Amino acid sequence: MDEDIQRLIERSRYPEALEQLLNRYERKVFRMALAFLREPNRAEEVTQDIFVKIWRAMPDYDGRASPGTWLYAIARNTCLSATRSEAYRKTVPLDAIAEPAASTDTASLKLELERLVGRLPPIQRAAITLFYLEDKRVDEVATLLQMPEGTVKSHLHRARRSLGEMIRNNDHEL
Amino acid sequence: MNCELTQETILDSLTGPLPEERRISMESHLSTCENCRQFAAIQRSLDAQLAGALRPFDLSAGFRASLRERLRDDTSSRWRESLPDIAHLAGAAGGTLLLLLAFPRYSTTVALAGAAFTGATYFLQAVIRDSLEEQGDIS
Repeated sequence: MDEDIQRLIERSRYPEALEQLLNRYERKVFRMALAFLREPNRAEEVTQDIFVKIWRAMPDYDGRASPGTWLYAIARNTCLSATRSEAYRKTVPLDAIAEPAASTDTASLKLELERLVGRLPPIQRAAITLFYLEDKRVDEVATLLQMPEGTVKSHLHRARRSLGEMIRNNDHEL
Repeated sequence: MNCELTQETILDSLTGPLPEERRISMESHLSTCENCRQFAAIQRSLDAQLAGALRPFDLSAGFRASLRERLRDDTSSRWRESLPDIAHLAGAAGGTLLLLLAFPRYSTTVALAGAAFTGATYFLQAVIRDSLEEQGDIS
């Protein structure tokens, strides 16, 4: 599927290869960034960072992995480091999560849920977010996060248990 | 089926379809266990809410234009970064060529000396540049 892109890179036709990569992967990479970072603007910045890295790394691409796998590996690592630096920049206080959410208003419910998901460790947060963004397809999440499907399921289970605990302990109503 | 296995099965059921036998065992346990029923209710409600809340955003309309601008800046800055190397190599090659024209009888020696000089000064330049960059990082 990625053979055409691989051929373009091998022939040093980098601008065309980048265009193809963007056409095929920009939305998926953006979703991955969104799953890790949760803020659309920041996710878009990180998506740009990823494609700049891809552009710089193209001359060193050795063809051992398919361009898609290679791109996802760079994307995942970039998202993880961006998540780590975000964690230094801002932390959500526990009290903010502990507030009971009695409102049934859709927007506040969504916000509440996003806050709960935001409390999960980055990889669990990414797994559960991508699972829903990718139409509940574990195989897609596994490809994006570069891990076996079993590992994705295990992250999903842990994330669901943690969210369930948060809801039970703090009496959140969903 | 015990509680632990039932809860794992409930979580599995949210990821994909279950084999019939497993589903029947789970339902059978749920009919007798209030704790697992509560767990199932929370998890099913959570699943429905997550499916509704986690919807994909689209990239902004200006994404590609802005990326192209960054790539243009990146390419020109990398070109600027390579200028000292290019100037050094061109200078050394030019000097060697002039010496070759001036001393054609010693062409092999001149060519070897030119290559050695170019290599040594390139290394020296790299060391000086690295140490300057390091000082810049520290300050």
